[in-house]
Amino acid sequence: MADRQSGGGTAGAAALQTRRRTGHRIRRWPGAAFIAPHMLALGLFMLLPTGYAIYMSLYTTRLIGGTRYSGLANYGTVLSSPEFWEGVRRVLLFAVIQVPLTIGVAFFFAAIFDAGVVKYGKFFRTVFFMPFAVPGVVAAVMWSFLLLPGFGPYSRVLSGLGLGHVNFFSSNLILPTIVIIVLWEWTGYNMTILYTSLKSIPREITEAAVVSGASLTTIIMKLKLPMVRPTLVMLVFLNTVGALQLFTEPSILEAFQPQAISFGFTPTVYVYNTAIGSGEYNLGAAAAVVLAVLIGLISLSAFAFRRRNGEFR
Amino acid sequence: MATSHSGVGNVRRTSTESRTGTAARPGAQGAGRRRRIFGLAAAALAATTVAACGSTGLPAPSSAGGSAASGSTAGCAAGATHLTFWGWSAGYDLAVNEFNKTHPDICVQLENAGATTAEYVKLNDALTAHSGAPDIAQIEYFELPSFEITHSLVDLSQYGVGSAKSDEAPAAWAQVTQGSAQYAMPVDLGPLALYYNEKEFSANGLTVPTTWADFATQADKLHAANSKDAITNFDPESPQDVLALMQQYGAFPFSYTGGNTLGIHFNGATETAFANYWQSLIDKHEATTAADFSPTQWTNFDSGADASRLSPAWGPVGMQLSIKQTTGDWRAAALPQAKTGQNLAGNWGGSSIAVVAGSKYAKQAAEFAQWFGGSADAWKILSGPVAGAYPAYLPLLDSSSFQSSTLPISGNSTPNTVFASAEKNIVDPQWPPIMTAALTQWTSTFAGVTKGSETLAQAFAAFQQQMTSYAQAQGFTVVGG
Repeated sequence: MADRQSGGGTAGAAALQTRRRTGHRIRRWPGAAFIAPHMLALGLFMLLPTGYAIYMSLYTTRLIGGTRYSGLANYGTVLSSPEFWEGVRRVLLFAVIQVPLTIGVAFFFAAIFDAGVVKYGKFFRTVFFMPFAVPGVVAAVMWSFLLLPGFGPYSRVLSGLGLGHVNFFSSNLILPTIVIIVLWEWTGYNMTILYTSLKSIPREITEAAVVSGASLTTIIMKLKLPMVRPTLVMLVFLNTVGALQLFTEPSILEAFQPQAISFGFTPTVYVYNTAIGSGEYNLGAAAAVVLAVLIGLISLSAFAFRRRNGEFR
Repeated sequence: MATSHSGVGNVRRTSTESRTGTAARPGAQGAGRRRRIFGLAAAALAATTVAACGSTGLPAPSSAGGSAASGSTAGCAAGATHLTFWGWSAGYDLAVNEFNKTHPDICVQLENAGATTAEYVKLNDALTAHSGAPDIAQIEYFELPSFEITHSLVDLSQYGVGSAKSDEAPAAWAQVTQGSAQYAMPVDLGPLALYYNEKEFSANGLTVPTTWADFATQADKLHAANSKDAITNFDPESPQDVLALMQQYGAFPFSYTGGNTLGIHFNGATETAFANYWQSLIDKHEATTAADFSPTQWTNFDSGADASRLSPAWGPVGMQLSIKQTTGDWRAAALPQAKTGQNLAGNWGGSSIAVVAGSKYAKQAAEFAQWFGGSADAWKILSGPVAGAYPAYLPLLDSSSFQSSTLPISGNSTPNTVFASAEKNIVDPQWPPIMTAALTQWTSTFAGVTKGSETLAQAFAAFQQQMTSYAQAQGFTVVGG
């Protein structure tokens, strides 16, 4: 609908107006009907809860004294909470490591499959994608058992190899452990998107490069990589937002090794522990809003970056 | 998400218990995050053992006994009063079925709304929403004041439940009452005792200590004989374990008798003495700091690296599933005392049954609660192999058959005699109405003690500050020190 209105010059606009005047209702309803379910879901499950969270964050409920309006006091508490910022720092560090690693590995495999240099490419693509079909909770539980100190097969194998008693859940190794789990879960998904993007590069371009005598590495790194850049940028953005909301893996690992996951391990864990764990729903709502604003700012800057690079023209 | 874990833990634990068959009495109602690991650790172990036994699948918590599933209202007479009961412990369904059979006018429907904190969160939400709350709920003792302060529990004294008092352990009764009001009916308890490896003790010439000072002396002696051996395990990150020991030491860090004033005393003189006592054992490597219920802890007990466990009454049953070499070597003795001549015990775990405010049938719910916690019929089932709860119900606790029962882990000895007499000597704790937050925040704050980056006294000081600011934010007047 928006397209139709903006497209075309004065003549188009005039024609549209005529059309509108005559068949306004008839032409409009199918569009509205088609987007209605989406809008309804968006309203009920996104806008309404967001609005409610903002509303809640402005009040304080006490065991003694009940609920009263407290303005921005909850925001002050969150912003001055070292636990909250510790979590923000940790997810930023996590994103800096995890995002390039996941996309790098995903691109490596996507390029290999695209180049057709491996046998049974279809089979392996499916195998690599499979972890994404496993729900995050299940994946985290599974990995927790695999890595459980003294019990899981990995720590046994490592000690069998003479590498000593490796505790994957110790406070030093917990973040790398989560990186491994998330890498396992998300590489296949990223790979599939990159693979599709690589496939859309016209065959002639690759053929021309081959004829000119370019090596496989050159074709992949100098030719194909720049051509899937928009996809890479989008994936960096999606993965970063996902990383900042890291929750499932730490909250499952916490059940196995509570000392490794602190009260504010990640911002979302902080939100959960304040709201559910300590019954401070208003404070939790304020923390959630702060987190949403942080992610919103990152999204906006990513959007601006992509716009400057000529996307969305 | 948290809900589903505790669910998992419970399911598996149920299966472990039912397989033991014999006089099982874990009734492990430890709470919060700890419970979840215990559950999962148990799940880990159960998963292997179940596979080894070739047992099929894992039973749902409610159908553990193999009898009618929970929520079944079969057998209820038409026109019976329907009551909803939220509970999670194994075997509760069997007792509920028995009640329904013998009380045709009332029909109780058991629902599992998650274990411990998961249930409390749901209960709080339902109460806030004024919709969906059950008539009856299983609530651990430490959580009762949190519900009392929001006026969420029905005073049972108006329905004559007070008549059950003489049949209940005084420590349990004290925890369900506030002045003349009674907010719940006690079910089980977990009195602490010194559970020691007799072979390890005699091999190293140790005597069973009667005071904590003597306990430290024996620890020195053991450590001198073998530098790898510790007298016991002390898990700083397990709030309920530490609080139970503090309670016995005369160092319980909270004081609360209802109302707006709350005492928080982690920096008090006795509390500091307690912290320094354990810190010194930890520093000398005479107490290990493995997580409660972790594989490491069991290995330490079984290898002789830890010569004793400060164990709740429900502890030995779970323990005997997790050790091999030392089966038959473990004996119970009263906990060492802070002062010579005292005879005090601590308590870790146990649940009560409360009637939730807003219930239309509070009278019938109260009748059920009294029957559930305080009748021989109920306890026949609750102390049985599936439920395995450790009774606060005195007629059973004092019975000779209960006291003379044995467990493979303790050979021919009768640990119940020791635990039962400890139950009579429990120091009443005054739980603060902010326990959910305390449990949530504890582990992070005390993790440094295990790591060695802070002392127990420093963790106490930090926690004092955290709890004080939390309580003040909740509107309490905090009395510190």
